[in-house]
Amino acid sequence: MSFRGFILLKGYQMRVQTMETTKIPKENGIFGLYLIARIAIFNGTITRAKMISFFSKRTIYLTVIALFLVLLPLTAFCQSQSRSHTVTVIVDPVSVIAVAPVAVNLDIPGGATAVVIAGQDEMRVTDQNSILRWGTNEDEGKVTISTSLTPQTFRLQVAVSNIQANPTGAGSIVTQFDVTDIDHDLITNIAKSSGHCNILYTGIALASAGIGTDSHTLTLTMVAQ
Amino acid sequence: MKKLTLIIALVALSAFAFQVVLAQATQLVTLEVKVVNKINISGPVSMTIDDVVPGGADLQPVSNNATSYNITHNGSATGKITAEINSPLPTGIKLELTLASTLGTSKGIQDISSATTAIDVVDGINQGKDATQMITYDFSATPEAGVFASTTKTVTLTVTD
Repeated sequence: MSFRGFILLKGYQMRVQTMETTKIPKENGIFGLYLIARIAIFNGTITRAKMISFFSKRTIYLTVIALFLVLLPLTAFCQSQSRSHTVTVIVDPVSVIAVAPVAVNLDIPGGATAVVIAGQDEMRVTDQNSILRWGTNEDEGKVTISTSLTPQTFRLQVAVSNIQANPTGAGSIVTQFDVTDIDHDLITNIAKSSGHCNILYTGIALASAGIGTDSHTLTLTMVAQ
Repeated sequence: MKKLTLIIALVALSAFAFQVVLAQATQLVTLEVKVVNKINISGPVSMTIDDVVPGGADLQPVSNNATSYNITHNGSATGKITAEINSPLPTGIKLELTLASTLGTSKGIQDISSATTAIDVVDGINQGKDATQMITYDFSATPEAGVFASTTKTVTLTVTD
């Protein structure tokens, strides 16, 4: 290693012409650098200076380790910056419910599924194409159903089948019942879940009641149980 | 103080009385009942004349009431049942029909021997059902008609408004 430059020594401006380093033999029990600098003093006199610096092996190792420990996190600090801020996530109670299709027609005897047996007063028609879907992050919910129509000429019964929920908590199915203007449980014990089921409607008309049309607006409501 | 306590209690009770609605959906369901006139008949019926009236010259008529009909009717209160035969019987051969009815009024014994056009056998049928009502066939023949070979006839009963 060598360098050239100017140094100040004891009030004299000197120019370092060369600087050499030499390894000291290992057998001497020391490990270090032997520096020889050729210094040119400005008055023209060439002086040969010797500067010897000795370091023990242990000191060097400790120094290297210390530098490693200090520089490594410092390096990491220099390479990436971290900043932090506060993020607040709030999940409010959410419950949704939907039923499809929007409208269902039950015809007696026009519908293909209508069953009219000669000699029987009661005539039935069924529809099981409606699907009820829900999602809730609240525990212990239930779905009720009621109709806006009162009084009714014919009977409308409702039941639920093929109930499924994810991950669990599909709830309990209530057996088939007549829909009235009073809320009646359709599914109970719904846990935090998203699920769906089929709604089975059965229209029941008595021949003795004659002909006519009942138009129901059914309201399905998810409520806390 | 008592009034205040009572008011607080009532408010608390009313709060519990109303359920918390989480979500709601509506669906329109229309239940339409159209005119229904359904009838079915048991059968078939087979009748044979092979005897004479004791002490007389006329052939012994036969009767059959082994069959019945069911109807469901929700139209007008003046429904009726008509009967017709697919082709007329020859002169001297008579087929008569009687339908019992509780929902309507039976027209009694009706000769359908040549009723290729429908005739009323029950009228005034109200809305509702009539089940297992008896059908009676009376089959008779005059000696002048001679032998009448086995023939199958189709009798059609129709319920209408």
